[in-house]
Amino acid sequence: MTQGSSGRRLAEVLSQWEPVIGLEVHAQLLTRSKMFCGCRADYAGLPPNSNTCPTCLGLPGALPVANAAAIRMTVRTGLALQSRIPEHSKFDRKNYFYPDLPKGYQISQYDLPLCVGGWLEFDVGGTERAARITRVHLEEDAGKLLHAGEIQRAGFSLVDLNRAGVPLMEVVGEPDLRSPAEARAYLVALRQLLVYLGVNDGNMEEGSLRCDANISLRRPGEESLGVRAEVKNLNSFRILQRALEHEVVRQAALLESGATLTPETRGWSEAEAATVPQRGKEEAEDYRYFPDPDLPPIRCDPDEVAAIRSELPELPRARALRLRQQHNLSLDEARGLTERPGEADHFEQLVAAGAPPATAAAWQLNELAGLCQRAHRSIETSGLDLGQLARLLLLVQRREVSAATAKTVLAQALETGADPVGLVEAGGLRQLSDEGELTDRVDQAIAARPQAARDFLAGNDRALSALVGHVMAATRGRADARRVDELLRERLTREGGG
Amino acid sequence: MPIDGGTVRHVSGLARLGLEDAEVDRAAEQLAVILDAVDHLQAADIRGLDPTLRVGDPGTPCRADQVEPSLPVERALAGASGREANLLRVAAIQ
Amino acid sequence: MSWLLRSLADQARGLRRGEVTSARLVEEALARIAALDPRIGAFVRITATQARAAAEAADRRLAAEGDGAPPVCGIPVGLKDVLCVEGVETCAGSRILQGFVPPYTATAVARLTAAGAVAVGTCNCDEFAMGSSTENSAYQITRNPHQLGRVPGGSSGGSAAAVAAGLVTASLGTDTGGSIRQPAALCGVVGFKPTYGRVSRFGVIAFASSLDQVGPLTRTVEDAALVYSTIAGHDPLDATSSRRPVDDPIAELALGVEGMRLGVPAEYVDGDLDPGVRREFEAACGRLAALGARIETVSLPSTRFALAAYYVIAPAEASSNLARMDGLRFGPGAPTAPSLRAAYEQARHAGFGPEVRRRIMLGTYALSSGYYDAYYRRAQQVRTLVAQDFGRVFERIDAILAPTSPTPAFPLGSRTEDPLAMYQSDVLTVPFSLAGVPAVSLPAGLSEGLPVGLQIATPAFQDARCLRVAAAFERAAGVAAPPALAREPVG
Repeated sequence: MTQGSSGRRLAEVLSQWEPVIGLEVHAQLLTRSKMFCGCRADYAGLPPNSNTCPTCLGLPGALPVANAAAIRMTVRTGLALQSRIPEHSKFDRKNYFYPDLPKGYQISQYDLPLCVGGWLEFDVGGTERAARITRVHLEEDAGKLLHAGEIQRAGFSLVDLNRAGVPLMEVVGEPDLRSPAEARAYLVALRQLLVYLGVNDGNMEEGSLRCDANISLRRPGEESLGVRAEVKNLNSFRILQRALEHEVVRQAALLESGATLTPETRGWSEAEAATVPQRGKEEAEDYRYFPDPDLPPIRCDPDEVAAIRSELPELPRARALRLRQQHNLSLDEARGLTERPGEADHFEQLVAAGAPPATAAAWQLNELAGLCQRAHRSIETSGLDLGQLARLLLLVQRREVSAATAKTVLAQALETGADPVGLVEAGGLRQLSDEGELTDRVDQAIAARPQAARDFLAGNDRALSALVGHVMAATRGRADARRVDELLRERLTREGGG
Repeated sequence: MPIDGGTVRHVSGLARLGLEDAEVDRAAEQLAVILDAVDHLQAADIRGLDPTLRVGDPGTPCRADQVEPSLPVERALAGASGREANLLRVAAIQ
Repeated sequence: MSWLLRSLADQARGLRRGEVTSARLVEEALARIAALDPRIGAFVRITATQARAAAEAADRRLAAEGDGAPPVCGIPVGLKDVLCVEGVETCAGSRILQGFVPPYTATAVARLTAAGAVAVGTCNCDEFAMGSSTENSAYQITRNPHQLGRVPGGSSGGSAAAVAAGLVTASLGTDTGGSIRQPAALCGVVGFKPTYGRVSRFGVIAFASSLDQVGPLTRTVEDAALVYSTIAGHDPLDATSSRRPVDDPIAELALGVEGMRLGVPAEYVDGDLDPGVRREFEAACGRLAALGARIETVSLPSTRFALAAYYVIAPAEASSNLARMDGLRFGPGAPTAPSLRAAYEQARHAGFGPEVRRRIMLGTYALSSGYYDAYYRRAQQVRTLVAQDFGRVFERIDAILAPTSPTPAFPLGSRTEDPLAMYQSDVLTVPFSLAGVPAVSLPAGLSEGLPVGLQIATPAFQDARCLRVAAAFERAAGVAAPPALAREPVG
């Protein structure tokens, strides 16, 4: 939550007003081709207007034919959200004029969407919540207007139609969210679900996942809805939360001053750190929806839907739960490991290769994550051999290799591709954990640093580190530092006490 | 059933037909005459009938998710009235 | 007699027997166009160079394949200005598409030319196929070859006149509410609208998507069957095209009508009909009865609502289909307009003619908020009523008979000020379009020297049966004589 005085103001408002928030999320589907033609769906990086055909260009005489994979992905999403998949669905035309809309209408779905109802479970700061889904439907994306702001001042706009016709799935949520933080958590969970389902790449910066929010305020306990503002194109979790927090404060101020709100569309201005009204339209657009006569109605055969349901991958919450149960992980660990399906796969493969689960979990989330980040790689693309990594982690768990040593060899392995365990052996880096030898070294250290020993017994706990350091230096870092610490304390207190 | 000028302007606006002031009255007249004629649709007994979404047979609603060659940019933009390099150039949206 | 006044089937035989070549047929077509079309105005564009090259290729193919070559190989044809042809300017009779050169060819046309037919030029039509007289073309009017002061009908008036005058052997038109059948009737040729979904609409500049169908205009029923067989069939590029296997009208053409039950809708003949039309229609029914068919009266009560439903549904769909005509990606546009809105409005106001603007407004109104239920939705429900009526009748009846047009060709300019009067031209053809069933018009005599058409319709996907009944009638009544103009000697 926002800090400082604005944070206090927000907290104050939230104690007096109840935000009512619903999100509309548009997700570009990971199909090979566009929604109604064979042009590529993955238009990123293609030269302008090189990814079009008569259909997506809206040339006279061209016709649309629906992409079966896009329909299946949408049904899959609905099933994962517990939606109902009606047997009959259809496409409708949404008619309006805009240069990024070549046909002068968008093919979308109006009153018979592919998926109806459902809910999304998510976690907000440790509390489990569920928000209802209104519907999930399928439509086509528009082209792109480039540099609209700057060039607009020059009196013209430039249009690239590469994106026109890309399949877009819209997930509409009921206004069940009650705070900006909740809205953020909902979006995080939805994005994760879509990535797990393999229907969307989760990329908000590049716009393959877009979010609009509807927000209004009411007094706690009131049932009717207030006047809402629609805030569009919130392309990061941070911006979503900040924009909604800003809206909460802005709307509260207006309501408290007795002003009447009118429904409006707003956008986020990073420069002003505020939501700002978007260019007002002269009149509310009448989209004149009607069933698209070029596209026969879709029939979602119950057997096919059942087949899609049976092919659903393990979803993030279920996977986290299973990992917790199978490997006795904490909730946080399980959540962390299942954030991306690739990470979860990595963890499970690591355990299957022989790594002890607790060690593997801790190391993947912490040390390995850090090392990979520094090497500019992801966990999945680290390049480390899982069998070798598993063996190293087993040594760590058995305290045969110190954590520090393991980190060092791993960093080297990442760079050179060498076997980390091999590096340990070659360097004679196994941890010294033989009790007898450790005890001797401990006694030697106490003998060598009597003042430190006395200081420790006098109550200076930190003096112990000098003794630990002595042992580590004498063993060239190979001693098990934790056991050394334990042994020192035992010896000293025994001596001291006895 | 008379159609007023405001409705004509609104409808013409939705369709971006650029109706000029001088044309509004005549358009309203003509539209009214036609609407009168089609108004007797209201007398049809259509209780319990679903709208016909299509005639013929179910056709082929879907196609396989396959990439087909796109048009080369020169052919795609061949007819464009405004161009800047390989982008369509249009007047400013106000 | 000029080869071009002979049937397609005759020409095909001649080509295979070496009596004539495609090059000769095409030269004759071009010569007849040069001599006669200045008075008729059937063609808006001639593609002579491409035609000559295609004729040469057809001749080589005929030499190589002989009887194995498709029936339409080498035959000169005309294409309505709404059928996209790659590399050929296609304008749908409108200024807003001036200069539009499609980068692709309509599937129906591609099939025809792949079978060796030679496209000689583009036939005039009402702008965006909206009209019943071809007077709405932005480019030129077309005159009825039987009487030049009269309309050829519409919207495929150019296609019909071209065949009537023997300028080409066959042509392709499109039919939305009667636009193949009515001009065929007014020009004294055969015009066939297949079952909706039987012929691909890909590459057909759309008027009303749920009604448009491509079909042949020819001199004889057999010719129509030959062209139909060439162009019909599923197209993966058109989601509304049917996967059902195509029937074989040629195989059924000679089967006759003995024992068939043919229905005459009371509502059609009880209405206002030109006395000559009525007389010829009754005579036609008599001929079919004499061939052994049982003629009975049937009732299609929804007929009185059909025209109104059509004039809501078709303009509504058109208003949306024509939204892409924005002057940005094709057409002359308005590049100097001060704002985007002005650019749209200037391009569309200048580019669309009055009838098209009228229908776009009507259609936009019918779809607009507050009116959708009372107009568009209701019209689609009436459409269900119409389909039910046909379904009921076709349970007992093998084919429906009706006049095609309430009047023969009317004088040019006589209905242009009265849209409603113009719309009435479609009253007998529209119901079949709404139901999506196949329907053909063929010549059934003359009324004061002007052609009168007989319309025959059958259940959906019974296209072969439709042409079979037509063929039986044609055998009894004879093939219509070409107009006097067509029989003028061409040097």
